Amino acid sequence: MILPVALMALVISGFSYQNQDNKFPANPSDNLVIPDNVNEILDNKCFGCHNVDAKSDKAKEKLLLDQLTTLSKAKIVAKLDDIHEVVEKGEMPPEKFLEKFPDKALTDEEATILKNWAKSASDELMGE
Amino acid sequence: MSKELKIILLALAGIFVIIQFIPANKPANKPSDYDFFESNMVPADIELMIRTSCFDCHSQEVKYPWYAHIAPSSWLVARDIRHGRHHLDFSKWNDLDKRKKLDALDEISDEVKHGDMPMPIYTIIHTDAKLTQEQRNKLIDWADDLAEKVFEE
Repeated sequence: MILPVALMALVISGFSYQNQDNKFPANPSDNLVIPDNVNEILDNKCFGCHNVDAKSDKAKEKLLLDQLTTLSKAKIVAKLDDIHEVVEKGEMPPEKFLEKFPDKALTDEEATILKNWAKSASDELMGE
Repeated sequence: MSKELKIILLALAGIFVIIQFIPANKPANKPSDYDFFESNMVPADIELMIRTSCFDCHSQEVKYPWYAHIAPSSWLVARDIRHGRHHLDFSKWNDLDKRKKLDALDEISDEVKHGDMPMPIYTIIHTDAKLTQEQRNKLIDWADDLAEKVFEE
């Protein structure tokens, strides 16, 4: 009895992930404008977990992409630094997640675009 | 008491004695002249909260409890303090550049908001370190405010 239920839950959770509404991109704000090519990567590879309606509390606690542009400049800098760090270290998307959804892995090109954007946007906010 | 039980208890006691010789490498406190609270004009109620709820892992003013001197709990305490200081050390706040300060304040705000800090395992024993929702909100607002100030500097 438990096994079919667990399987069902797995199927449903996988299905609901694939079916997530596309609410990203977030509204550009005075504090941060996300370029289209970056938006596309964030949307395809990150937004599924990092949005207010996502299931993973841990992902939501760390970063909500749909609210990123609404944060203060001070906080946006911190978030951009985090994004740069986890992409640089290859920590995101998480390995466990990629086992289930291998197509969500960042290509080298995408990782480079993300890192360059995070760094330059953060530097710009810092006036560097 | 059965013979087997006696042997088991003796063996456990023996192990307990032996592990006392494995050093925990407790990180020492290195006091400095830098005062985080004074330098950042931290309000008294916030200072008290940070001292009570954060300082035992995130400062050079760690107060070691008695069980920090006895293995195996000494190992856990030493590990938590090493990790804690690595992420944030209020006593060495001044060594951080502006960007690192912003990163740290964002982290403080998020961790406190989501109840990840102070660590639940710590507040089981240190009940006075537990934060109420009202205290959490105050701490979050303070961290966000300080971030704004640091950013404008």
